[in-house]
Amino acid sequence: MTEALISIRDLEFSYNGDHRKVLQGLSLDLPAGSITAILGPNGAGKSTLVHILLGILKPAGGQISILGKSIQVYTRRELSHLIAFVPQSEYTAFDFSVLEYVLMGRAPHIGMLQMPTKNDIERTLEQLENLGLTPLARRSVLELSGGEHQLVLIARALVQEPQMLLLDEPTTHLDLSNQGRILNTLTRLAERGTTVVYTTHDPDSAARTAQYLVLMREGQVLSSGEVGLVLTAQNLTRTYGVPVRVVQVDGYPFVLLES
Amino acid sequence: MKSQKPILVITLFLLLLAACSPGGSSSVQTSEQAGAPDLEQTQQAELTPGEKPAQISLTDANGNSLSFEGPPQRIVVAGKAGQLILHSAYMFPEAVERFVAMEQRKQRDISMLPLVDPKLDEKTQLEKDAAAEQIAPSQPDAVLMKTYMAESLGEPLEALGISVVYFDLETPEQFNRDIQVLGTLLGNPERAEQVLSFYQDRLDRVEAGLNGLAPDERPGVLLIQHDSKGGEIAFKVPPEEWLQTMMVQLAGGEPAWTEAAEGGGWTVVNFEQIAAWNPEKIILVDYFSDPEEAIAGLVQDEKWQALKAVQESNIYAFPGDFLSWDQPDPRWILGLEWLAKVIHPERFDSLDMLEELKTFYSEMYGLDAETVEKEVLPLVNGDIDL
Amino acid sequence: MTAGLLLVFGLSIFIGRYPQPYWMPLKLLGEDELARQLVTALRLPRLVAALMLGASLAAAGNVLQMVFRNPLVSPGILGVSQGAGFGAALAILAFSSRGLAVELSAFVFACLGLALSYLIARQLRYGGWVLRLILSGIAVSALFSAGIGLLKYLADPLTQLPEITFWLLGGLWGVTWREVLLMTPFVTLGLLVVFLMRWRLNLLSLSEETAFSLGSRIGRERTLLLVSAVAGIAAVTAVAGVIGWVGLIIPHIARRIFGASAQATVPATILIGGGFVIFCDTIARSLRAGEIPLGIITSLLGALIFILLMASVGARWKP
Repeated sequence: MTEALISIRDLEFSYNGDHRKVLQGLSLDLPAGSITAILGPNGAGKSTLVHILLGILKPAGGQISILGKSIQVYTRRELSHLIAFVPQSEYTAFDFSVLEYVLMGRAPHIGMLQMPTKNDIERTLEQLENLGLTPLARRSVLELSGGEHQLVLIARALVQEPQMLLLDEPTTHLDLSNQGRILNTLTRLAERGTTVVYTTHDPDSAARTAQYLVLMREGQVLSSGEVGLVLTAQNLTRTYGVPVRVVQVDGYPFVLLES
Repeated sequence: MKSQKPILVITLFLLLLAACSPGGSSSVQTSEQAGAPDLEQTQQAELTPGEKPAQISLTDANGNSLSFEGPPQRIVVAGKAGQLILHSAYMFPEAVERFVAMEQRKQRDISMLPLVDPKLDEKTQLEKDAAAEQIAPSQPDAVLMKTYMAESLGEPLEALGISVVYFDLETPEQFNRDIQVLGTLLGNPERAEQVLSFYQDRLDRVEAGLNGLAPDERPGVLLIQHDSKGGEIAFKVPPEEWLQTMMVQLAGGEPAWTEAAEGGGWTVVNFEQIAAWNPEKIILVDYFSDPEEAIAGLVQDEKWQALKAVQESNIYAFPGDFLSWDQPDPRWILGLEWLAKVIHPERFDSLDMLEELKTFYSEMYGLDAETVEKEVLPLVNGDIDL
Repeated sequence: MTAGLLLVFGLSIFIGRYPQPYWMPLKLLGEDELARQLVTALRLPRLVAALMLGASLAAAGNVLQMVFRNPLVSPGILGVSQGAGFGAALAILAFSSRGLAVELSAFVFACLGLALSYLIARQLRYGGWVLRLILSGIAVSALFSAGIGLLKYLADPLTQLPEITFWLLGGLWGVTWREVLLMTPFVTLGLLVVFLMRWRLNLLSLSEETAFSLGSRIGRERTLLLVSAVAGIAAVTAVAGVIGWVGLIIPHIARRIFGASAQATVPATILIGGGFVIFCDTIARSLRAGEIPLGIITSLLGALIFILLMASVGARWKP
């Protein structure tokens, strides 16, 4: 396994006043330079894990280290140079243009009282170009389709120039063609050295896109490692709590519900 | 998130604290007081024994016809500007006996009532803005108030079966009519005649003094209220229909501000407009502080020094004693005489305002010269000595 | 843009009631001493005050709308203006004069108004965030407006407070250089901070997660922006009373013309807001012999423009 960008050990978390532990004794490694998919049923704690990685939630116990250093020594600014977040969707009340919107991703590189420089704008245009979004540059973000919106969010994350992209269910509400588009983009990014970690519901596309897989259930990691090894019928049945079968078609695994 | 509630409670509490009035409260005495029976007895003594009281009918300022079996013995004055009705009422000797409850509002620091009513302490002091509930316990035979109080105070009282008599007393014409109503109400129409002839004499005198005045001999006069509440200085002009405007005209002046006098109340004008009018004479009214002080401040200001009226020392402070004389109060006659003297000094050379003041208090309120000297003169401010 | 503002400012110097209604000829300044004094001692400070008033309210409205992610809020809707008015009235009663204390008290209560609106909105259970904030804001505004009324009628035995019409409708008729000086530190500081952070404002209008992950210290940045915005509002409201609609519609106009990014709209709101209030105040002091309360003019024109905006299709100017 390649070197871990992020290591998590014995993570514990529960919401205020809630006795139920959302995450308990969670340990996993997120390898650098590859795509890791985090799979699990609703309520497994995937989103919570994402929020803790971003520093939005504070864990009750356990350690997280990034590039060998504890997450706590990093400032907010430094973290934003390391991890870029792509939410599932984002609502804004204002009709920014796509260019203005993606430009906001340069925030880690711009001081609190400063304005974006020409350099910032150039980088933004570059990323738009990379993702084939240039024709949309002047369009309002409120007028984008689901797939375009998701790509724009990815573009914004990329202009941060992070080491890792963290996506929260990027394909959940997209149709097939858009799903393919997103996953292809992620694959290309990983090929160029960006670490990609995303949560998802869909084991099939995870199997095809990701190199590493993490299975979560009720706040714990059931299994993690290379996709081929982890994606077994037994693991999946334990994860989802219903019997499943894994069949191979053209060398790719597909997950079917046992009727 | 229960911690938010205390914030709300504290805020409301603070607001309520802030709203508590620091003064002006007085207890409402019930009519079961030592004073009441005395009044009854005195009432009986005044009427000729054996004579049945004659019926009284009158029409008040709102056009209502009322009739009483004999002059009402228990009268209450209430509502806004009740003070001004009281000042008219105390020109009649019956007021001391018959007026049993009133609001004690003062414009300046001192009220005149203690001087003219030796029985004032026995009477019920109503709270500010007293409502029908507070007035009814005084068991009035009649309640007097201004016409604009009809809806808020008059109707509730009438619903309780209490007779309400409305007054205007805001223009010379209304004054004429309403003093006669007071005379009828108090069973002393002769006194009303006396009062009115006193006023008419003075009106005639002013008119005579202005005899032969050509239209172009009427100087442009600006009467402004200087309002400095809360550090915000505003200059305001009165509406055309108000007494102030009428008095300026009666005194032989030409009101300079009528184009700005819109709306039902005082209208703010800025200095530019005053400069554009550049009137010959400026009369400054101030209800809440000393108008002479205000003028002293203004004439130091370069902008005001550019005005014609200031350059020729034709800026005057409207005089007053217990209250400024420009208002719809019996003292308006003094205000009018003073205005005539200010606007046409050469025609009213012989008019001595201090003498007029003494005569006024003597004939209208029965105060002797010594009392006037001691109690009234110290209160007089404004440019009365001309 | 700036040229437009200078034009409005420049023209307004010559409009007034002296020597006759509306226009004062330029040469009069050379001849008439009084005219010179009128312009320097009355018109100029008043114009500067109007400029500050418009700029502060409009920029603050822009900040509020973006920080609360709600294009329908304004200083008047969130209880900020009314809180400032209440604070000022309270201070006048307590200290019976105008000075720094009034401005500070206005500031404290303006912040209180904002905090209350926000906290109550969080407590409400129905409706989306946009609706909740507006509802609670209206309630808090009403609370402080009533508070001003209470202060005036119950707690003012010496009648130290100006009339209620002044507080609720606003007016600049008493403004001299002294008032301008009082406002200047708060207004310039507030506007400066908002101006410098104008790009950052965009980030705050996104979701908290996103802003967080972009490295923004949300709490600190938001507080800084809100405090600056409220400082400006409080200072101008303490002098001029509660003026409505400017904080609501000027940001909308700016967005229509320059797009949604605060980098462009903040300077635009400052300039357009300043020009708008100068325009309204010039009407208020010159149209008729008597002064018309400023709030009436801004509400009238503001509401009209608002209706037009909502009804029409906006054109965007792309640089």
